[in-house]
Parts: sequence; structure tokens; C-alpha cells
Amino acid sequence: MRTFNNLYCLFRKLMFSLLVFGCATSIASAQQRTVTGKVTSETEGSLPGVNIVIQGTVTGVMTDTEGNYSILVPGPETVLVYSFIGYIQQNVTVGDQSSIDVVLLPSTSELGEVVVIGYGTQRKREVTSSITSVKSEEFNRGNVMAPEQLIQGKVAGLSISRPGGNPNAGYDIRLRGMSTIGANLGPLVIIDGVIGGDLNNVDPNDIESINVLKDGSAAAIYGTRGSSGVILVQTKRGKKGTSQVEYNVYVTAEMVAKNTNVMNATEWRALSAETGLGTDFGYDTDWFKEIERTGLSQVHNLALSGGTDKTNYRASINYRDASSIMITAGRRELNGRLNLTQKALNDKLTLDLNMASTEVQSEYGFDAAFRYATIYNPTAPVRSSEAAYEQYDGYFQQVLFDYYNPVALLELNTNDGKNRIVNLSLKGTYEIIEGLNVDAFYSIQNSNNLNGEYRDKNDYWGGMNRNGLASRSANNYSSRLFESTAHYLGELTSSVNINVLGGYSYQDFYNEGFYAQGGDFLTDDFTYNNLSAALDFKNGLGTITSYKNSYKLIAFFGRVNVNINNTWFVTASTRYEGSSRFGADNKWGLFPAIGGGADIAQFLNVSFIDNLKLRANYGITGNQPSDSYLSLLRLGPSGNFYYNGVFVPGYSPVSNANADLKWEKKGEFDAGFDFSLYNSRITGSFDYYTRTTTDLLWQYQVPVPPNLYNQAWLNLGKLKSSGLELAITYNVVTKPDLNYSITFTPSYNLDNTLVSLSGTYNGADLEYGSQELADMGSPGQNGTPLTLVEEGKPIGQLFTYKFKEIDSAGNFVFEDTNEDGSITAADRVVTGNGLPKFLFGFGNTVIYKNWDLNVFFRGVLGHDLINSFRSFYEVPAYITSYNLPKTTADMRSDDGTLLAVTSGTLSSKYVENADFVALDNMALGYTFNLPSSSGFNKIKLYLAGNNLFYITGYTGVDPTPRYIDSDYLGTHNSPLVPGIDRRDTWFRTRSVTFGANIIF
Amino acid sequence: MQILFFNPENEYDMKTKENNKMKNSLYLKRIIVILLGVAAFSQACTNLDEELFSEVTPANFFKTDAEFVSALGAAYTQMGGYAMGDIHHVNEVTTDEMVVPTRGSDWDDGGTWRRLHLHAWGYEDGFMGGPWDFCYSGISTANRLIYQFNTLADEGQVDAEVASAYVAELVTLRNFFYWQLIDMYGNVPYDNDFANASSAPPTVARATVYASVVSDLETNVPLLTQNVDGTTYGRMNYWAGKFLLAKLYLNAGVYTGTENWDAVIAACDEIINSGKYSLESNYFANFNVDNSGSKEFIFAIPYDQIFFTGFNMNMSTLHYGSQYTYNLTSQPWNGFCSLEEFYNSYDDDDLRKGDPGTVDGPAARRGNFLAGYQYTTGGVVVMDDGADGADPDGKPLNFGNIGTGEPQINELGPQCWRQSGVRIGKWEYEIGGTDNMSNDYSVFRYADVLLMKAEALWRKSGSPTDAAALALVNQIRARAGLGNLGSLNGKLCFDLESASVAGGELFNERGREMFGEHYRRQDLIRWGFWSMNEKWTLPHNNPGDVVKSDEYLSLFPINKSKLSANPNLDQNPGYPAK
Repeated sequence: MRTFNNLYCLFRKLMFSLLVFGCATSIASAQQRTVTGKVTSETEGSLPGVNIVIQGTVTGVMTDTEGNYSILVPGPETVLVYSFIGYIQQNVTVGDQSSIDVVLLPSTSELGEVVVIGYGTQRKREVTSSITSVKSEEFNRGNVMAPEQLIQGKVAGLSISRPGGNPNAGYDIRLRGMSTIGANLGPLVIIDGVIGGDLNNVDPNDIESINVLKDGSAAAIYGTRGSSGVILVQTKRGKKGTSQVEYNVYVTAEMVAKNTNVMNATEWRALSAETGLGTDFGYDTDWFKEIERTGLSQVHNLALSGGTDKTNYRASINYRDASSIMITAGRRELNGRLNLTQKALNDKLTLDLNMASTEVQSEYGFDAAFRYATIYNPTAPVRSSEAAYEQYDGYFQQVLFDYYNPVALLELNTNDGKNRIVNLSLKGTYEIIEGLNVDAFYSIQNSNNLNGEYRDKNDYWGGMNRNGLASRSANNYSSRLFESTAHYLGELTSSVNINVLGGYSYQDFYNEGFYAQGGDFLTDDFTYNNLSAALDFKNGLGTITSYKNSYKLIAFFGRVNVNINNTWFVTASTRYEGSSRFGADNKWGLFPAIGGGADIAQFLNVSFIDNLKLRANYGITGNQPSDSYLSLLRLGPSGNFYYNGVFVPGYSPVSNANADLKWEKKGEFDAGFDFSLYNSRITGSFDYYTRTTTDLLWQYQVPVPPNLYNQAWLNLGKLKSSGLELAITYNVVTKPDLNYSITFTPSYNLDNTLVSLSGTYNGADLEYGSQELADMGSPGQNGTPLTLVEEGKPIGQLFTYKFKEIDSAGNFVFEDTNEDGSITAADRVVTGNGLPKFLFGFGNTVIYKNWDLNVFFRGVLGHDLINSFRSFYEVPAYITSYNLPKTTADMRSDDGTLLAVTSGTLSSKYVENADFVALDNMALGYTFNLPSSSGFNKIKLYLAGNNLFYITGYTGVDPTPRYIDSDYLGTHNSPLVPGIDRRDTWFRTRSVTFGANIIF
Repeated sequence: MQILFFNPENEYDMKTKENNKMKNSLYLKRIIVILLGVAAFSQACTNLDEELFSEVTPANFFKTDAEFVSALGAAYTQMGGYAMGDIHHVNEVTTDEMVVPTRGSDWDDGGTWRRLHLHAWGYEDGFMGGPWDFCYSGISTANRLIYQFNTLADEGQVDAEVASAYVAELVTLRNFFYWQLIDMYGNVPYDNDFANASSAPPTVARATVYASVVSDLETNVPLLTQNVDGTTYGRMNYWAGKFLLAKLYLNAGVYTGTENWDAVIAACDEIINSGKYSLESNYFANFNVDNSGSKEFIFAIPYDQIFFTGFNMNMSTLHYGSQYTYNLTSQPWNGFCSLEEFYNSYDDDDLRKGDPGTVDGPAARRGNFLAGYQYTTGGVVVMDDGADGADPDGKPLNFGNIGTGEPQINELGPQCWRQSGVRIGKWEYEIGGTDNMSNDYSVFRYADVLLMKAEALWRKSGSPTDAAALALVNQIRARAGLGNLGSLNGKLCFDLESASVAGGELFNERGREMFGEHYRRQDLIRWGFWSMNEKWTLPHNNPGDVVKSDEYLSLFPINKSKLSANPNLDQNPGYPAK
């Protein structure tokens, strides 16, 4: 996973060391004498405390605070061993040198790395849980618009997905499958200590490292929010003794990689002629061409950084301008960040100040345009001058169910928004005595959204019949965090080191907003900017809502790490945390964790094993309810009541009181090992995990009476999952000017079972058993469930008839799976699963002289998708109204006659295996040799491609797993129904990027 | 400086460590002070009470009269699902009045609409659970409010007299829902104790529930106001209670096996003699957009496009292109229509039938149906670009293809023509309307009082020429512009091939008058015609369809999910028990 940048530097340093080594050996001397020198590192400057030992003896010295040393050596054959935590050990033969300066290189061995953990850092060697650290050198390259993309495929067990190429859509992040169904699904994000940080406020260029806490033991220190994993993002900071300017720039061209496979005008005419159905309007329109374009983007990132002994800083400004593949959608982003560190009070006090601000302007476009471009008649014109179309502003329209000219939809209407995010944080750390620090941290996050949408008076899709329709929404989200910790690092005995942490945390959140929608305008000129001009507000048809809610979390936490002889490691932590969202009787929960590890390489005494650390741990994490006030009995407006000639509002309960409402509890056991073989030629780690979530939060239908309201959030169910993860790096070739390494990060989900969703509440047994969820929808497939949610069975079961054939009369023939002689709903069976089983990333890095090449493949396997386009439209008779998939023309009986299929019916025919392997990322770079007189430290040019190709059998536009159903009817959003490829998905894209990285 | 080797991974200089040990005790006090400070601060900051901004809890409600009225309102807002919810579909689409054809792919929905019409439903069909939920939700809301009002009265927080008036009204409303339940499901749980409600109330026999409902009403209805004014519109007053009793007595034979015609006559007479209600001179005054306060309405649901939503017959029945006829703000769904025999059961002169639109112009008279050519507000025929290839007159939108020589009125599908079927036009569709209509929906109407009394008189006397009964029916007919009937006997409208049936003409008249008002299924069952459904389903496009006509189908099954949720429920005969 190591990439060229770092390797390039690394190689330079190696060359230098070899040079030193060469000089040292070439001159011989036989006298005992003193050798002096200075030890430095590229990043930290002079290194104090480096051990220098004469090989084969216990004699040694340490460097002083300036990194200088002086050692008496017996003769020229003496080999000095320079070692320091986190750096590669160097051996230098003294020869006749009297002065040896050494530059230590950061350790390439994973076990020597320092990783970021909750509330601190830890040497990888001491870590007893499953943590993956991805450094900036290892990030994905090319057209990277969001931090999530940087590590897509890089972390075993972490799935990051976004179907289609919508630049304004977010990513679904899932760690180790599913641990919840009714609470927060995505991992907790922590940015420079800000819990619940917003990734939209971090530019990918400013990120130093991303650390993923995968198991329960690592995440338990985050208590009620740790269950779905924790992602720690560290931004870059200025370095001591440096002063540099870095400028990154790139331009990207993004193209549609795959459209839905529908007929062109010629093919449409042929099928129309054969069936005698449909209207030929005489044109030849490629509707995809009409709504798509090549999206061009440019990205600039300028960072100024530097540091002295007392102060270091890094300031950056980022500009991104992305136009998308949809003709009216795009995104512009301006982001600034300042990270400042200052020492004071004789270096006992360290102040860290972080400020970041982002403004995003989005043009969202309209997702439905892809659906209508797919089904619109290819013989229809885009525009028409006939009088009948004047009402549509000259766009062609046909009167059919859910069928609109996609060009008119995009060109007439407006849908955009602004998003501003500000984050400020200040941390003061005071060293009371050496090894004991206390700190106080305060941060605020503020996010403002302002969106506007306008549907034109001539827009047949929605604006025309409302005589223009405008809406505006504003939302403000803010959070304040105060934390204080005390941290002691020291030793109990000469062989036992301890690292103790204790702290308090307070965080509150406010979310408030406003929405208004109204139509009936005299003119389109206002768009959404003058809602008072909408007559709907006068006649009562306008909609206005506003809301405000809040919650807070308070916690006490502590952790102890024990290192015995650098061989045995124990970590224990706990968090005692309360959430205002919990019921009155269950406000506080305890989230403990314990783990142990042992480096057994030294006991094995196997020559090729450098390190082998076995570890095992268990931790309990929580997940809080997804909304506030769920434990309270609340009254809400329940429609109106006609009373004495006027309507008065009716109020009734909208929830039940549940004083027992509490956190979901996930217990996770993780065992694995980290290894380093053949002098770090092969490094990696392996993990097995098994996790059980109990007290699952879910909204239940409950009987009325005895309850006041028919729904309640309860903690009843139980989920279980387990899996295996491997991450391995192999440096295949390590020659001075040729280096080739591969990384492979597979993960396999063994089990993802919904054990139970049943329980007892208020005297009633709530038996879940099995339920059919989701709905295919209109046209014609309302009441067609897609998913069977069944206790004791895997999550994501796609549930359909088993397709046998289409008979000569055009009827679908399904398998009589229960052999009762007739085809009924009881014959439906599980015909697929929407959740992937096997994920992998496969990276190849080649460095040859000044060239570097990175080729990264990503695979997602074992999941199925319901191809809803085919299920709805693969029906020859529908040529009456729609354009159809090309495959429709192949639906023939043996004698070649077209099958008279008359309606779409879901069956296993449309449940498709969606395994894929994608060439996710490929980048070729060249770094120029620069004379030191040039003033430049580095100039690198690169060409990169993203999503260059997909190998998949899936016939839809994007085989990416669908973790949440994005049903356009908007009623079935649930993680229990993955695997449905709905018709509004943006089409898949590929992109090519040309960029430069300049440091001076 | 040359010292002994020590652990290369140790981060600290030995000297410093020694210093640490010495300093540790000195700093201990300072640490304790700081930790104590943190703890004190933390205690102040461990309050986890929730702060509400845009929601209300009961702690600060029920303080004013307006809040009481709004609490009562919750019982009536339940009614919003009556006009076009599942309870409508199971009472109309199962009869000769309405059908929801499968048009192309539209309305296929897994065949559920066809099963409803062919009486081929299963106990897992969603339609079977909807009405159950609708009724029990109404009952539990009424019981909750009764409990709350009684509690407040007991605590002295409200005047007991005020509370008891509200309670009597809620009891009457509750029994409206029980009546619907025994009508559709027969044997149902009957449990009104809110405070100590059973989580799995057992099934109670139909006749037993009937007896409880009737006795409950006989006790409480006299307590209701006899006023008919703005304060009682849309609410259960004394007369609505009497009407409800009349309906229960009318169907007593079905519910209990014992008929009670005298009680029907007495209850109807009380309403008629009160003089509080009368027939509107224009039938459609009851169904116009602006029909609030019709003299015929005894109990109506005051739908409103803004304040009281849920009535969307315009969306449900009209064609996509009808959007241009009515300038609707949403595209309609092209679903519900009526059947050929039912449409033809009206005389062409019947003011309730209306005219079809023709190639020469839109319909001259409004009627219960929309038939023939449809016109835009601008006066041109609506064109249907998606017209089916075989449609005899192609693109012009023509409901039922009236006038083309190839009428297509009865269709079920799959693959019906998208224009087929005459549409439901009984309620006025507002020009520029939304997907929520403002027409109030009549639940109890005075015309039905006349027809109920006529039926009871005829059943009692057994004479097809019972003068009093004929006079009542002829009042209805006269308003529809029709001549007097001489006999109540006649051929059934959906079975003109067969012989005259006793009371047949009265039955037909009930259908013509009460079309679309949720009474057809009940009437078919009471008259014993329910099982003749093979006569009216006439599935043109799928002759292979099996029409079930077993007696057990006169009760709907208890939905599968209800059975699994409550082990004490008994399934109705003929349906799977689990």
C-alpha cells in the first residue's frame, strides 16, 4: 500500500545511507577512537534519545537533545547500530570516519508505526485491537472529491460505496457488515479530535492519515457511538524546522461509463412495426446524449506550512469546481484550513488551534432524468414547434403515466443549494510533570444548508399544474464539544510501562430548520427567490414547516495500557456514558473493553519472522436512538376537526412513553495477528471477529390499547455477524532503482444474521417471525415485496418467484417450489442476497527511477441486485408507451415469434448476480530531478484514471451494492432491504485526471 | 558519556525517571486538586433531561377548552381514511358497482385488485387487514379519550356533565366502528377497557357484539344533542345515533339471525318526523364541491383539500389525460371504473346517470358516471398518446369507447385498454383541484332513511305493491326525474336474462341512489345476491378466471398478520386458521 511519494523520498535517503556506508568501509583504521555525529530524521529534524550501540555488545550511548552523540569505538571494523522507536534501525561500519551523521528513516514495518487511537496515539506494536491506519502516501489518487474515496478498498472489512456518479451524493460506509438496523449505520467520524466531525469540511488534500478502529475493543472508548466503527481523520500539520509551499492541481474529465441498455430509434421502430404498437414520431433522438455531457473538473490546493521549536503551522486553501455528467448538475467548493501549534511556559503548555471552513455550492439536477431518458420514445423529438407544445415551452411531451421529457425536466427546473460548514477547535495541553499531561479541548461545529428548488410553469413534470412551484429549505446544525483528559505515561518497574488515560466529555447538538413550498406564480422570473409571490400561501395550499431538536451526551472514560518487557501488552478501557435520548430509567450505560497481545517472534526463534504478534480482545460498544424524544409520550397535530363551522386542529399522541429505552449493545470479540517477515518484505495482519448486537433499536407496531400510540421504539432484537479479514503487503522487488510491491486486503463475511426481532412490551408479545418488506411500486407492481426479513436468517434475502420460462402465450411460468400444483404467493423463495460476502482491494505499486505506477483493483462479490429497469420494462407490449431494454426484442419463442408478454412481473429472472472487480484507480507519475539551486523541492506530474473498467455480469448500470433502498416513492428506506437497483440511480462514470504536485 | 545499554524502546532518560519519582509525591496534591475540580464541574454537567422545542408532552396539555376540543377532534380525524381507504375498496370493488382493471401494467399490483373483484382474496391480502386497522384504530382512539375524559372528571379537573356529553358522543362513534367490523368480519374482539386492556383480546361472536353495540347505543344516543347546526356537523348527534341503530336493525337478520323490521321503521320514523332533514331538490347537491350542510346529511365527513384530506376519487378514477379536463395539480392514476350492467341499470333519462361526451361535444348533463369523449377545459378532445394499438378510435380519450360501436365498459384485465370503463363521476371534480378533494363525504344520508324504511315496510308486509313503501321509493325516483314504480319486484340489474325477483326493483333503486357510498356489499348480502357474483364480474379479457361464490366469502378473513399477533383470534369459517 505504500505509494511513490514516500518511496521516492525513502529511496533518496537509502542512497544517501549507502553512500555513507560505502565511504565508511573504504577507509580502514585500527585505532580505538571517538566517533561523533548527529542523528536526524527528514520530518522531525534532530532526534534526541536515539540509541547507538556497538554491535555485539551492550555498550551504547544516546543522542542528546540536539541529536548529537559521541561514542568510543574499538576499531574500524566496529558496526554502530542506530535505533529509535518508529524508525528503521541502521547499521553503519565505522571505518576511519570520525564523524558519522545518520538520517533515520521512518519505519516501514507496520509494527513500528504509531497509530492514532481514541484519545491518543499508540505504537502499533502495543496495539491489542484491530486498527488499520492509512497514511497519505497510500491514498487513492486521481479524481478524488471526498475523503471517503481516499481509502476506498484500502481497509479490509470497510465498504465505501456510492452507486453512480452523482457528485453531490454521499457515500455509504459499512464496517464489518451490519451491526444495527434502526440506529446509526455509518461509522463515527472524528476529525482532529472533533467527535462527529463532518467529512464535508475536510479537503482530501489536507488529510495526513485515516485510522479505522474496527473492533469493539478499540471503539469502546467512544461508548454509545462506537458500534458502527470509528474513523479517525488526522489533518496535516506543519513540521519543525521546515518551511514549504505545496501546490496541487489537477483537471479531470468524467464520462458516463455505462448507460442503461435500451433500444435506439431504429431498433425501436423494428419492434414497433413487429408488434403494431407504439407511435413513431419520426425523429431519431438519443436521450442519453441529450442529458449527458463530459464533466470537466479542476481542483487547486495550496498549502503553506512550516515550524520552529515553538510554533508550527499549516494553512491551506482548496478550490474544487466539478461539473457532472448530467447537463445541469455540478458542485463548487471552497475550503480553507489553518492548523496552528504553539508551545509556551517553558514548553510545558502546548496550544493547538484548528480552524476549517467550507462553502459548497451545489446544482443537484434531478435524478429522475436518468429514468425518463431510459424510457422515453427514441423517435420523439426533444422540442417541437407545433402549437400543442407551446404550453410546455416548446418541449415535446406525451401524456402517459410517470413519463416526462427528461431534457425539459432538467432545463426548465432549478434545484440547487449552498452548504457552509465551520469548525473551530482549541486544545491546551499542560505537562504537570514529565509523563503526566492534562488537557482541555473545546470545539464548535456549525453547518448551514440553504436549498432552493423551482419547477417552471411550463414544466409538465410538476410545475405546470401548480402554475410554478417553488420550495426553499434551510437547516442549521451545531454541536459543541468539551473534553478534558489526564494522561500519564510512565513505568511501574523497569520492565513494565504503563500508559493511563482518564477523561470527561460533554457534547451537545442542536438541529433546527425551516421548509416552505408553494406554487401559483404569475411569472417564472422569481424562481424560488420570492415565495410571497406564490398564491398558494394565500389560498392555503402552501406548505410550511419548522423544527428544532437537540440532544446531548456526557461521558467519563478511562484506559490503561500495560507493556511488559515489550512483549506482553494489555489494554483495558471503559466509558460510562449517558445520552439525553435514552429513557428516564436508563440514562447511563457502561462500555468496557479489554484486550491482550503478545509478540511471540522472540520465542519462536524462526529466522524469517521479524515480528509476530498475537492479539485478542473483547469490547462492548453502543448505538443510541437515531432521533431525540423517542422515549417520551408526545402529542402532535393529528389532522383537523370541523367544529362549529371551522376547522380546529386535533391533537393526539404521536409516540408512547418508554422510560426503558436505551442503547443498542454490541459485544465484539476479535482475535488476530500482525506479522512482519523477511526483514519486512512481507507484512500484514489477519483478524477474525464475531459480534452480537442485543437490545436492537427498532420501531415496532404495538397494540392500542394498552398503548396510546400504535408505534414504539423498543430495544428487543438481536443481530449477529462474523468474518475474516486479511491485509498483506509484499515488497516483491526492492532494487535501488526498481521497486515493486503489492498489497491485498480481502475480507469475508461469514455470517450476518438477524437472530431475533421479537420480544415483549407492555404485556404484549411482539412476534416478528418473518415479514416481507419493500415494494416494487408503480407502474403495476405495487404490493410486490422484494425482501424477506426472517428471524434466524441472513439479512438481505431477496424474495421472488423462481423463473422457469415464458410460455408461448406470453405468460410468466414460475416454479412450483412447494409442489402444491398451483403457483401462489407461497411459491416465492429466496433467490438472492443484497449484501456482499467478499470484498477486496488489490494494489500494485511500481517505482522505476523517477517513474511510479499505481494500479489498484477493487472487488465486491457475493451480492445480488434486483434490476428494476428490466423487471418493469422488459415487456414487448409496453412499446405502446415506452422505450424498452434491447433484450426485449430477444424475447421470442423457438419459432422466432415475439412473446406476447403483457405485464412486468418480478421473478428470479431479474435478480442478478452483481459481483464485480473494478480497476478503481490507476496512476502514472513522474518526479523531476531538481537541482537544489532551483528552489523547488519537488515537481511531480501524473496521469490518473478512476473506475476505468468493471468486470461484472450485472446488466444494469452499476453493480455497486445498494445498502439502503432509495425507492423513489420514498416510503421504504431501510437497511433491511439492501440489493434493489432502483430506476433513479445515476449512471456509472469513469474519469481521467492530469495533475501536478509542486513543493517549494 | 558512556552508559550501560538499556531498553532501546524506552522513551525516557533514567535521570528523568528518578526525578519523576521524587517529584511524584510533590505533585500528587496538585493532581488531586485538579481531579476534584474536574469532578465537581462534571457533576454540574451530568443532567440528561431532554429539551423540547417543537413538540408537546401531556404535562402541558389539557389546560384550555380549545385543547379539549382538539383532543376530541382526534376521534373524528380517524374518519379521513373512510372515503377512499381499504374500507372503501373492500365494500365497493367486491360488488357490481366498481372494478379496478389492470390497464397495461398499471394496477396489476400482483393481481390483488382482480382478486378483490373475483372474490378470490386470500387472508394474506393487504386489503383484508386495512379495514380492521381502520376500525380498531377508531375504537381505541375513542376509548382512550373516554378514559382520559373520565379520569379528568374523576379528578375534578373538568365538569362531570361536560365530560359525560363528550363520552356519550365517543361511545356512539366507537359503535359506528364496531358496526363496520361486524358487518365485514362478523366475529371480532370486543374490549373497551382502556386502562386494563388485554393485549390479546379474544374473538366474540357476531350476535354477542351486535347485542352489546345496540344496547350501548340505546343507552347513550338519548344523551346526545338533538341540535342540527354547525356545532354538530360532521359529528355524532342524536339523529346520527338513530340512523346507526336503524342500520344495525336493518341488518339484524344477517348479524344475528333475527330480523327486527319494526325497530328499523321506528328509528327511521323518528328521523323523518323530526323535520330536521329533507331531500335536496338536486341529487348532486350532495356531491358537489360545495356540499357542506346539505339538508340530507345526517353524518358526513367534512373533507377539505387543505384541512381534512384523504378523499381522492379524482385521482383514483380519472385517466392521465383527464388532468386537462379538470386542470388538476397532479396527474391522475387511471384506476377505478364502473361496470357495464351497473351503468346500464340506469334509465337514459335518469338524472343520476348523466350523458356521455360525444364527438360533437362534452356531456350535456353531469351524472354518476363519466362516459364517452372527454374534453379539455379549452373545449377540445383530450388526446391519449399512449392509446392502445387496438383501441377503435385511437387517441381521442373516450371512456368505455361509447359511441364507437365497440363499447368497452367491462374490463378486468390483465391488459385492458387504458381508456376502457366508464368512470366514477358522482362527486364533482373541482377545476384546478388537487389530489385532495373538498367535497364532503356522506356517510348517513336522509335518502337512505327513506329507502331503509321502504325496505322494512316491504319486508314486513311482503307486498310488492305496499303503498307506503312505494311512496317512499317514488320520492327518490321523482327527484331523479323518473316516473313512479308500480311494483317493487323486478329483474336484477345485473341479471336481466333471469326472471323477476321479489323486491328486485327496490334493490336496483338502492344501487342507483346509493352508488359509491359503501353500501352495495352490505345490500347484496342482506338481499341474498352476494353469491351471484359470477353474473356481474364478467371478465372479458380473462375468461379463465375463477369467480368464487361460496357463502363464507360474505365475511372477510382475519388478516394473517393479525392472527399471528393475537393467538386468541379465531379465523372466520372457510379461511386458513393460521
